[in-house]
Amino acid sequence: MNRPKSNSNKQTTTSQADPITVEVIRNSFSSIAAQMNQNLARSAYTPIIYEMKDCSVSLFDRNIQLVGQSSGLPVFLGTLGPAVEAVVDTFGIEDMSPGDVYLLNDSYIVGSHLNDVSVLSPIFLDSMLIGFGASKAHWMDIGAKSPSSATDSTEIYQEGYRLGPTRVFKKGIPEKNVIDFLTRNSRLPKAIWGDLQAQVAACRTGEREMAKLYQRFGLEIIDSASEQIFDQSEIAERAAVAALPDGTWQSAGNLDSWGPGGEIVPVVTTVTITGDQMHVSLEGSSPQTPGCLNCGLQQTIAGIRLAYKFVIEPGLPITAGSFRNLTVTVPERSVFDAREPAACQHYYPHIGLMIDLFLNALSNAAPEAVIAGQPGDAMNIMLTGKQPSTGELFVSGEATGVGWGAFQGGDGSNGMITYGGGDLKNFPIEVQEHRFPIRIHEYSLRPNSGGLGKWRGGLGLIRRYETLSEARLSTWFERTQTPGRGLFGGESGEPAMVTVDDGQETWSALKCADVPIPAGTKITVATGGGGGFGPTHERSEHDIENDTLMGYTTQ
Amino acid sequence: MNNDRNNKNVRVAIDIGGTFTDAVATTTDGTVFTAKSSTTPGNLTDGVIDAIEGLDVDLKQVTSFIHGTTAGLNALLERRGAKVALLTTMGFRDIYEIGRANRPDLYNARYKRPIPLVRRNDIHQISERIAADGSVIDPVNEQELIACCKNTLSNKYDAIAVCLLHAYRNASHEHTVQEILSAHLPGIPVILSSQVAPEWREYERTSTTVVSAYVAPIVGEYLSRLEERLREKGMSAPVLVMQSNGGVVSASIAKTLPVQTLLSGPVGGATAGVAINNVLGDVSPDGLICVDMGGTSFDVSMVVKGEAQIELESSIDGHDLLFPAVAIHTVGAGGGSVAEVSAGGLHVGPRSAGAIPGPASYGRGGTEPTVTDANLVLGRISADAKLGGDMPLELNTAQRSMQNISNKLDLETTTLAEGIVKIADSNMANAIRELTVFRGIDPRDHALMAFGGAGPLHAVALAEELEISTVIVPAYAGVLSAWGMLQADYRVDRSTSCSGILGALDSDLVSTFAEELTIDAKATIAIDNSRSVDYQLRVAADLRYVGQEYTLTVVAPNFDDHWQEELRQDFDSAYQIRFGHCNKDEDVEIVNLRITLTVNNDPIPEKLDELIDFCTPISEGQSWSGSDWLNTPVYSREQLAHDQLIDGPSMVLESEATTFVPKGWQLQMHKQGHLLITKIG
Repeated sequence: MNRPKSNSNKQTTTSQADPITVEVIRNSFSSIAAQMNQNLARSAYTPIIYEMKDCSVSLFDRNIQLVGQSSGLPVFLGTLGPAVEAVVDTFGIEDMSPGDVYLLNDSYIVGSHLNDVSVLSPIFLDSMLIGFGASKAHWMDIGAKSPSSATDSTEIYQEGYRLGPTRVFKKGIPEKNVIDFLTRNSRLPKAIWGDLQAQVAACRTGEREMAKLYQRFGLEIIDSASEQIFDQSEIAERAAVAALPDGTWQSAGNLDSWGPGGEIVPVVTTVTITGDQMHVSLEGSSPQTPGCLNCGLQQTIAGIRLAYKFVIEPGLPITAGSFRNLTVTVPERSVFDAREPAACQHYYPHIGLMIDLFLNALSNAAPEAVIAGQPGDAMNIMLTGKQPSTGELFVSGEATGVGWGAFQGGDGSNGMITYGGGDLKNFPIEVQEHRFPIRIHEYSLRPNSGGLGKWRGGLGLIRRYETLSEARLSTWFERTQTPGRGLFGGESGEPAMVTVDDGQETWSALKCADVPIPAGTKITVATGGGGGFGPTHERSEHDIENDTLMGYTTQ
Repeated sequence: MNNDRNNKNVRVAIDIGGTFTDAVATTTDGTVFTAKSSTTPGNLTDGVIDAIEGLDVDLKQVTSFIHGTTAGLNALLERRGAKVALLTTMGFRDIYEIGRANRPDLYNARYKRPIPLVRRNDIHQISERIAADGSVIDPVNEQELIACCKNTLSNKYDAIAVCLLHAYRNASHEHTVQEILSAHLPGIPVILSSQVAPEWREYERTSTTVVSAYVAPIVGEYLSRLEERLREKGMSAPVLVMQSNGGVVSASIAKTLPVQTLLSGPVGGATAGVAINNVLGDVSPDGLICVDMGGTSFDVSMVVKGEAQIELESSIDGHDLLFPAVAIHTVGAGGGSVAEVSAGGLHVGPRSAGAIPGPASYGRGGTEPTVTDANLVLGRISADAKLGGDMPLELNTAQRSMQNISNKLDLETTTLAEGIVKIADSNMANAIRELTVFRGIDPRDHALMAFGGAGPLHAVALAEELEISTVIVPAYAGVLSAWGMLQADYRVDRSTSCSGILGALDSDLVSTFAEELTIDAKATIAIDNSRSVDYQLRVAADLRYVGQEYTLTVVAPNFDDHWQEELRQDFDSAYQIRFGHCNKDEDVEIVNLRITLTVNNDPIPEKLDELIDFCTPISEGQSWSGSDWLNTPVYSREQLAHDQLIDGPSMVLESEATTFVPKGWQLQMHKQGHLLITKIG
């Protein structure tokens, strides 16, 4: 057999990673992040993390460049970098040791509400710093003015403890005073301790596996591989943006209010494409609100990145090279870049609307890549009270799916979690009824709620509750002002509705905070439907018949 | 007919695969016969009968007949199942369609859930309601249901699935519904959620019940037809069917719980792993990581402490299922995985060249390089391996397929080929790491068992990546699943919801629960009367810290005075192993009680073959070591001598696969024909 003779001396002594090593390292980074996330989700204490996946994991090199990430909620995409930077700025790398763990939750640093606690650790190989592992997860109660969280807060100080960079483990030993503070100031101290341990376990997995990887390839080869990985992300994304036509497009909409009794919140999204560069400006959007509808700049950047990702190379992993051709303009002290003392509990509604407006604006440039409007919000309903049997506090909080926008070639999905929540799952009725004095009477698709069109918008959901003991109700339902809007002649979806019947009177409660309700109160929530795509008269006979047969539309 | 095969006590196992139906038989002296026939998709029994005829055994002498079938799985994957109606509690018609309202594909704005097996207009609601504690709020409205039978359900459906809220706690309403349906729709199978999956979480239970109803008539008819044809041919032994849990039950029982046979075929590999672990336990004390690498996918399962790892929840093609099944994880990596360059980076898979055109070297028009092509270029498979059929592989075409990428990345063909294999190996190793780390298992404590067309080729490289020092390439690789099934234990699983805090449980009540489950399982076993003796019983509990959702299953000791304390300690240590921490101050609650009845099967007896002292290579090739081309002797597996040590680099050829032993590793054939490859030094 004739074989080509390979020149075994070809390998040079400079520490350039070859394309093969680059690919092996790329996949290893992703795999380590996935291992961290699996460890976190499976060992977390509270359902909001393990069941609803309200968490996210990122892996950084020693220069705080993102090398791997594994997200539960896509809206957390890339918000952990600033958390690591803040910790490094505060403590200094020279003051960090193997086994250290740090945490913080300041909304103005990490962007989202105080319940989202970032936990991170430096990673060492022997005594050399090689990177950072970080996770962010929703803690159930951090001592806000009402149980779990407040929906009527007006200053961040009402929303629970606000932590800047804080060392919580030193050389593997828990900082007792810190943990005492965290648990003593929570209504659910066991949950705090349990979830913190799960996040630390994720850090430890990252530390162990990163050390193995660096041991195998060495610092220089990994640095070289990382640079190439980043460059490849950048090349792919630039090419995808360059394939779109140049231009500037704007789309505007309104949120119903910044809180119970509040005023409307305008949001304006302007997208500009110039060659391979994309610019997103939120100028014209509302100033920071007097309610708790606000977020820090980092959450806004994450939201814009998610919107971009829906259109630009959705299949590629995210690295420090991603988004290099994406620039943003966010007005200071706006709802998107809130400053002290703005409350930030509801950090998502304006982000959800912004994503919707982004896709609407881009429909001009990339009609095939976008979807019609989605009335995207988490659609939260929370019931709290005392367990009749034990007198213990209970908190039942959940997010409800909405109808998704239709698109070129398909109807929108029925009843699915909004843009920002990916693998976030609904609350099983049997678990909810077992845990809490609540009975569910209906959980169904909401017929006729999807906007008609050549392709029909997805249907919203209906869920009917009855309280079996005294309770308090908080709700946050949005987007009646700007529902799931139709595209290219498609119609808009129906907006959300919430009605409360306490036996005496019936009232609408799209947004309410901590309202006492008697046992036997019936609450019906109905989420909005998605927008249609294309003119209704172009819908096929077959699809119209099927809608009637399935009861998706009724006369 | 061969005399040996007329021996009394012939055991037979048949496994239906996508292309071939495999048959294995053994006699009391340990002789093993194998045969293969083409799978006959239209009528699977034809292929089974062909395979049995290939074995040339007298069916009258057969004492045990074990069957792994894909009848149910194919019906599900190809959506050829029954026309099913679903009955739900009033108000909850859409639980099945809504699912968990999640979107696993995070950055895809156009994500659509798989189309449900039962459409909305075939879902009907019943007025009734049971509370979370099992008490009745509203009784079943029988008149309404009778009217529904007459007006809506009659003459329309092949099977009816029933899933009512909280039926895991109180099944009486489902039983009432079943009675009414049976009376008014005689002959239509009715599948109850409380029988199929008596555990909470309404969506997953509904999905399991629907899938069960969807495959029930097909699995039932298939098994009945097979039983009949085997009886006609004189077989009196009962047909035993492989279940997803890795054990067997009689066909008559399988027909009552057809969903349990869904993974009947695919679990064969793990079952073989268990059998190998029994024989070679001394080389892999902690267990085996079993990898099955074919053309397009790579399946991983694990054998720990002598048992196949079981998962309580799984998902097949987007259908969520709640029942104990051997955990099989599939990764998109195989011999056909395509190497390509995008944005300047080299990627391998998950896209596959498939069967058509297949790897470039098959010479069927494929131009993109695949993992198989790379192995050929590196001399790790021989051109005579005939992977693509009867034609030899084309080395020149394989080399040519590398040119494009080779130029783009400025890499020598050999270096590129080596890289393609390395990337594929590293992807597979990462998949194994994620699985093992997730379960708190250290791969280094395990041996790697590799099979499938491409498994033995990559096995040692994977072992190197995972720091595993022992690789096993089993005998009978071509019919491995059937060989494993032949030795599968009889197994019945039962579970029930059971709640309370450990330490404060009423021991009498829990042991009564366990006893009831045992009685039920024994009643099942009694149908197979020969099996009703000599069983082993295991009681286990699904436990978790209060407030958590996911549970760990821990074997419960006998219900003596200290059982709750002991169980508590066992849970804490199991939790520590799995998650790296535990919470000794937190209360532990019980969620489900499980029992498993097993009747051990006999291993295939050891056969002393006429010993071959020494064997010589059939040819010699050259393989790339990473720095040099090394002379590489090629052996035929059929001619290998027992216990002879063969150093790498070397290759062992057999009809379905090639085993590659690199330098630094050593091969030895075990008495039963399994190849043991160990790291030297």
